[in-house]
Amino acid sequence: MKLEKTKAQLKKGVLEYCILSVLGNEPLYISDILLTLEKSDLVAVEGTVYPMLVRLKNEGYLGYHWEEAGEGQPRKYYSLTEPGKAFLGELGKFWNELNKAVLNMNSKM
Amino acid sequence: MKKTVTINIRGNVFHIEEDAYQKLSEYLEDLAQHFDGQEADQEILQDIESRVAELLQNKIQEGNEAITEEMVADVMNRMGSPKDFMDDEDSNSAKAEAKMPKIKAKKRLYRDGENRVLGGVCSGMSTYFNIDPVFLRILFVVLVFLGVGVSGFIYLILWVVVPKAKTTAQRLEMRGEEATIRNIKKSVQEEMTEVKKSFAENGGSEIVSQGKSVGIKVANGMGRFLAVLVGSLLIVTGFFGFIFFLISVLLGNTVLHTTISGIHPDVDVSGILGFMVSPGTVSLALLLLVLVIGIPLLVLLFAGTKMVFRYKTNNKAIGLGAFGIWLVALLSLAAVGVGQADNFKQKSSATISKILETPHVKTLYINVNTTSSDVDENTSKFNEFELIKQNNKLVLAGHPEVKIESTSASDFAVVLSKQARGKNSADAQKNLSGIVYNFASKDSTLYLDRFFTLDNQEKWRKQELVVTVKVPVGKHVYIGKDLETMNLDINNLDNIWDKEMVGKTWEMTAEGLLLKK
Repeated sequence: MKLEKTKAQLKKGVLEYCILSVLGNEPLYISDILLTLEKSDLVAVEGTVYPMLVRLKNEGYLGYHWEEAGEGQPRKYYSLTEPGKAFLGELGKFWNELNKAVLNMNSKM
Repeated sequence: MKKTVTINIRGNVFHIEEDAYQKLSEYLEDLAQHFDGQEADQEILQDIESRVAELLQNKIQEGNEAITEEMVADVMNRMGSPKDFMDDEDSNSAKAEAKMPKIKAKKRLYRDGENRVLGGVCSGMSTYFNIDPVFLRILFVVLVFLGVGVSGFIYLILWVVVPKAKTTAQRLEMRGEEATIRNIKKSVQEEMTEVKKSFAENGGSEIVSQGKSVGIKVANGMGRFLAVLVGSLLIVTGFFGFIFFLISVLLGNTVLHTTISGIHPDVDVSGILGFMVSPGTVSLALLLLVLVIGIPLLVLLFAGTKMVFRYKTNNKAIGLGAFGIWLVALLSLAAVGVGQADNFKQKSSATISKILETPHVKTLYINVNTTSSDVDENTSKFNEFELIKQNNKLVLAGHPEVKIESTSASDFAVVLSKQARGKNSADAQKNLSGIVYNFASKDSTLYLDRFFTLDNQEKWRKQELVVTVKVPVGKHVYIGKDLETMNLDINNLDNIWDKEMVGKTWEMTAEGLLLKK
């Protein structure tokens, strides 16, 4: 129980970085974003992603547009904005530092 | 074969088994409860519903006919429950906790865009009240054709303020159960069984918080009942207040004093305004007055309908907008009033004397002219003036002041001292000449009119009139009992109060009036 909880917390912490990272190359449809995240076992339930997407969008890091998809509803595509790209860059740097720090610490033990 | 229903989730139509539908609608309801805030929450909810629709669509494409309960459970597993959704960086977690004890399946008024003819107001209302929309539409059309223009007005207002049911959760909410006593009891019972269960499982550690939430539920139920009660009261007050107010202003009737009593219990607003300012200014002032008094009444109405039907609106925008318009109207009204003050700048006065042909009369009898019976008293008063009907015309009538003074001349005389104000002295002079006052003398009796009136089209400019009866020294004057109701200001040597001087004969001495025993 304790393990699951800590795991979930850690995942949640890096999820924001991962969402931005997934969108780093091209605009993506929500379901594709989810697919990528699920493949890498980052997301336990899909529901966590939506509030984060909308919040990042409202904070100006993400933008979106609609695309017609044959039959059925139009699809919502999210993409990185300029501030989003800068933000991703900073987060990437920090992640590398963090990664190094953790590895460093573990190797000393 | 299970019974299936057809549902529409964000433009996708599904056949779904009844128990699966139950489960799905509860889930969407839960989500709607969780994401209950402003813009951002709506967007999250729409995104999630789109995804749910997509996942279900995939299941159908795999060759299934109808959605089953397992499929819904599968989708729910994949999406997670609202409590997994907490995005720590905003207040959602605190919000979610605060929301937990809410009663499920609240009913809200929405506009039903899918069954609309115009704006979906009738269909939304009929869904809310659980009746056939056709009845409401017929009622509405009949009202419009009967010339009840207000109904069109109300329709437009509802169109603007009632939101359209956009998400599926909102569509469910639109049909949801109402917080009736039975439902409250039901939800409390559900909660109690949960309490018992958790007591059995956890040995009572959670019972405190659970018990609290039962309390909150009951309180919420009571709160809902009170909200409906207060809301209904607000609706009735706001609605009738506004309608009566509008009618009274438009017709210039005295209905007004029954509705907005308190300020000036008997004021015929438009009637009096007509005597104070020019017609153009009257319409402007009336319009402003409608806004200044009407907006608070509409806000009451709005707040009431919100409390009863619980539709969501942008309260801030509506509130600020209404307050802004109200403030502008109030300031404009004040500006119009200040502009009016200009009309009172200059004062002017004039005196007219008329000697009464009464050489042999020893005692002059002063009475009120009762033959001018075409004057019916009217209840509207302001300052010293009244609105009266004279020859079927509404005129402004003032109360003259009556004085009795001595004169060294040998005849009785009546002196009229008129006073009025205006923009400049010429204007004041013109306003002054509008004062009409009649008196008549016959034999030894002087008949005074009770009122002076203002000539046709004459505005109120603080016109005043003093009627002074000049009595030669040594002669007598009898003050008729009728004069008691007039505005008397008579000095006498006996120090008797003005009102008690009536019905008595007085002698004019060199020093003043002396009671004749």
